[in-house]
This record gives sequence, structure tokens and C-alpha cells, in this order.
Amino acid sequence: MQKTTNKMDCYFVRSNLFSYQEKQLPDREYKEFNDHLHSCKECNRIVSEFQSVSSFIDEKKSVQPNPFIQTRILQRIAAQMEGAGGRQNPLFQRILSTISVSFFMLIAVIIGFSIVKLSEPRIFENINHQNDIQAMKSELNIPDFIDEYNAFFDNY
Amino acid sequence: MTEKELVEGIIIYNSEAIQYLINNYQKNVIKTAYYFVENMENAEDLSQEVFLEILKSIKRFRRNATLSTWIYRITVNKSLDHLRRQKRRTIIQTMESFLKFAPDGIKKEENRMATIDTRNDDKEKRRILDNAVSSLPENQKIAFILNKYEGLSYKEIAGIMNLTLSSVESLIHRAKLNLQKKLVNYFSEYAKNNK
Repeated sequence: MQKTTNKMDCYFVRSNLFSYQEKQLPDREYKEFNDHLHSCKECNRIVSEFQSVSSFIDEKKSVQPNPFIQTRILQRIAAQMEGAGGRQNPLFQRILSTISVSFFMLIAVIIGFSIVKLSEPRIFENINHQNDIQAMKSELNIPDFIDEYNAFFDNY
Repeated sequence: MTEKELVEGIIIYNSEAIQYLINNYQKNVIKTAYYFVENMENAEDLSQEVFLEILKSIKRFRRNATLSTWIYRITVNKSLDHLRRQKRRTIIQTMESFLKFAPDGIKKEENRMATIDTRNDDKEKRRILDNAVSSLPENQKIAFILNKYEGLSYKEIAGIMNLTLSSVESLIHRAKLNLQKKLVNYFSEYAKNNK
């Protein structure tokens, strides 16, 4: 009796390629799987291709790294530790850098304070200047400009 | 050297401990990285990053997992970071190619992907396998690679990925189903194109 390929069997075969390859199928299913491969040319081809492709997993596992990589790793670590160590300045240098930063900040504050102080006398000068003008106006009987200005707009 | 002595030695940058660490773990680190990034040169560069990270973070190592598990975790994370950076670069390059050659360029690219070079059948099969594994969802990819390539048990993988055993089983099962599907589709297309 000729065995016919069964679509369900094909689906089962194509969904259990790993299980078949790793011999994880129960005995009965394993036998049926093999029987199907004998009768189905297409599934047979697919299983064969799958086994061929998945053999490259073993090939990849056998690749070995460069034997001198250990030296490179150690050199990199040594360089990193040197760099990190260099960055950690001795105590004296750290104190000096703190003092320098503080000094420059102090200079900046002093300059800022000086700028403010230079601009302050102008206010007082203005006030004094205004007092002098008032005094002059009183002497010369000249009305305050503000009074005239207000009067002008009141009339307008 | 016990693990405790090794960890304490690394913390104080003891050269003997560091040498021991590299001697015993560098091969696993490089090979694991290689399985992810598929390029030995990149894997070796990544291994340097991994060991530097180990030295930097050793004080944060909690003894609830083994040192080996912790090192695998760092290796996987560094490898995935590398792949993400590479993916971003590829996207930019693809966009640049598209702008240069579109729409003919796209057609040329599709034809190139579809054509099977029978003279380099093995090379093509390796490429197909690598592409199929790379295209897996991240967690499935990690679990599959650690199991099938690195040969770790489900329990070890659960420790590395911080998952339950059943989650790891599920991930590997789904990874296999996805890979089977991709490979079967590829083989069917191959047969169709070469009739």
C-alpha cells in the first residue's frame, strides 16, 4: 500500500525540526516523523536543509578568540587604572585648586562690588544737583518745570 | 582562589586577582559576545569593555548570584548595547542609500536579498542562520543564544536574565518555533526560485 503525504504530518514535521534534531520527540512520534520523511520529498528536503543550517551553530561554537587578547585586556585595564590614578591628584594639588577657585571667585565678587559702588555716587550726585537747581529757581523766581508742565496739560 | 577571595582581590585592584579573573573568564566573555555581535574583532573589543565594567562595578556585586552569572549579565548587556548602536547606524545608512538610489535602489536591494548564490551555499546558509537568530525578539534571542550556543542550562539562564525557570523554557520554546518558521519559509522560497 502506497503511503500518501498528509498535510497534517507535514505541519507537524515543519513545527518540530528542533525537537527531531535534538531527539526530544517521544519514540512513537520520532518513528512517525521518520516514516513521513521517507514518503514526503519536500519535508525530507526541508529537514535536510535545516540540519545543514543548524550545523553552523556547532561551527560557530568552535571558533576560538585571538590567543593574545588577554594581553590587550590587561594593557587596557592598566591604562585605565593609570588614567584614573592620574586624575586623582595628590592632596596638595587638590587643596591648591580649591584655593585658586576660591581666590578667583573672591576677585569676581570684589569687581562686582566695585562696579556697584562706582555707580552709587551718581544717584547722590543727581539729588545734590536737583537741590542746586531748586535753589537757583527759588532765587531767580523760576517756576518748577513740573508745575508748568502740569499746568500746560491741565489747560489743554 | 575562592570566589570571595577573587572578589575582594578585584576590589583592591590586586594584580593577581585581576589576572586570575581574566584567565578564567575571558574566553567565555569573548565567545558570548561573539554569538551576539557575530564578529570576532568586535567581540574582543567588547570583552575589554566588559572587564573594565567588572572592575568599575565590582563593589556593587551582590553575593546573591555567582560571579559567573554576574559576568554573563554584564557581557549580554554590553553586547546588546553594541547591537543597538549598530542598528541605529544601519538605519541611517539605509536611509542614505535610499535617498541615493530610490526607487531603483530598493528593487536592486530586494533582488540581492532574493538571489541565492549557489557557489557560496555555505556562506549563504550561515548568513540565513545569523539573520534568523538576530531577528528574534530580544529576550528570545538572549535565551536561545545562551542555551544553544553557550550551552548554559535553563537554571543558569534564569539567573542571568533574572527570570523564572518556566519563563526561560517558554522563551526558548518560542525562539525555536520562530526560527523554524523563518527557516522553513526561506527553504520553501529557495525551492520555488530555483525550480
